[in-house]
Amino acid sequence: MRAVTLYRALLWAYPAPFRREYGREMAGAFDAELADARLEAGWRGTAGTWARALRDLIPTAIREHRHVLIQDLRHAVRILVASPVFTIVAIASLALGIGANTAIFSLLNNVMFTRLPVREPDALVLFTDPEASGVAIGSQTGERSLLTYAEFRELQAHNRTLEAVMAASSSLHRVQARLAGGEPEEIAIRLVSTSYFDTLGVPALIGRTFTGAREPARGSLPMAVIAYDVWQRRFGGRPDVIGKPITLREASFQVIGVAPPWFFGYGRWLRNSFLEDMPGVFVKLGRVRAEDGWLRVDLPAAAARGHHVIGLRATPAGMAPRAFGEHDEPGESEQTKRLRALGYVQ
Amino acid sequence: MAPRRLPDEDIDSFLPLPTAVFHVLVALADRDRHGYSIMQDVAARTDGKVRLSAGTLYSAVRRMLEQGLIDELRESPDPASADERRRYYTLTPLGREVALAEARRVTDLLTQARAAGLIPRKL
Repeated sequence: MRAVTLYRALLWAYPAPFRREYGREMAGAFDAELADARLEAGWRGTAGTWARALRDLIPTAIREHRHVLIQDLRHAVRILVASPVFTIVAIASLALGIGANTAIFSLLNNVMFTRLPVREPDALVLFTDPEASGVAIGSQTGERSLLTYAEFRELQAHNRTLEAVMAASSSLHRVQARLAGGEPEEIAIRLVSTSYFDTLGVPALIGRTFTGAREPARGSLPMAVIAYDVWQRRFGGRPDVIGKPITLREASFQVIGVAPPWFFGYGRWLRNSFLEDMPGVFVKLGRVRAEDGWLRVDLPAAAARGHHVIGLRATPAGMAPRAFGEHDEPGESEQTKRLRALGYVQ
Repeated sequence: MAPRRLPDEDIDSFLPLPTAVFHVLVALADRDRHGYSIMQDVAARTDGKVRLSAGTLYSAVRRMLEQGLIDELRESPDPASADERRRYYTLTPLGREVALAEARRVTDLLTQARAAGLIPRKL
């Protein structure tokens, strides 16, 4: 390849207008310079000329690109200033377009793309129908879309294949709440198992979550974890919220922790809907008995309500699944059969 | 009609000149030249210490044409040796004034350095 041909190829580093205007002359000058250098100093002259050309290529190309960019911007500003109506229409169209696209993307992002903000979303296994919510109606046999709390406890007690299993009420409970001594307000609560936060891998922002928390002593208040939003809005983000009492309907609870701001609960993820409310308070299932006030906040029916059950997959190697349905009647439920087929129970 | 002389403050707005621009102005001071001739002149005047590459030269030429420091000739000054690929450049009156102002600025700097004893009287 002739040297000048190679040099012409390098000229593509310059912006097109500059290359069109001066490229031919630059190639001619380089060719002449190279010929003179070769005559004067042989290969050393050739090498020196190439080194100089290459060393200058990048800074001068950048300078010329910057110049073209500034020229274009100046030209655009002149045109926009000269035609104010066109400018206003163009800016308004852009604003509308960007706004509409942002809104559509936000919607899609929330509904379709957002992953559950937990430690290992891909390792979670859902045992129940994500579309189902409410009460597990009917008998304990046959196919059901949700599990009862008793079934969850059974699954948890005999689990050998999952690292952890958690349950949460399939629908949010809206109750009148009194927080931080303020006016009562309606707030959404989610009943969750002790293992809820640990299974999802969500730590408390301050305080603690249910796992590791000691069971409340007899006579003490049942425990609750509040959402970040509630902490900011009703407690002003103060750290002394831990240990404070809150009232849900007529039952009192003690705040033991605050959920992190990025945690939006599992409901949105489950139903692919950003319309799913974020619970304001997480209340522990199971330990609260009628005398603790569950009856008054409609919680005692927790055992009968339908729950979503989610497991965290562990490495199955070396683990022997044990019986989940060994106490089942001969006509075991479809749910148990499905669990068995998946290998989660024997 | 003689070209109107720019006020000094307008001339000063060009200063200090980039090295390549000043060398191109000096190269065109005695006669009109094409690009490669400018490169040769600069190398010869500086004993090869300053060698303009084609990229540096034509980037400076583009800027100087826009600023009105030099102009492009429509015809070759030497028709006998005209190479149609080559474009010739000439110094404009503004370019001459700016080159002069830059030379004065550098001379003043040199004078001040001499007066301060920084450099010998004869350098």
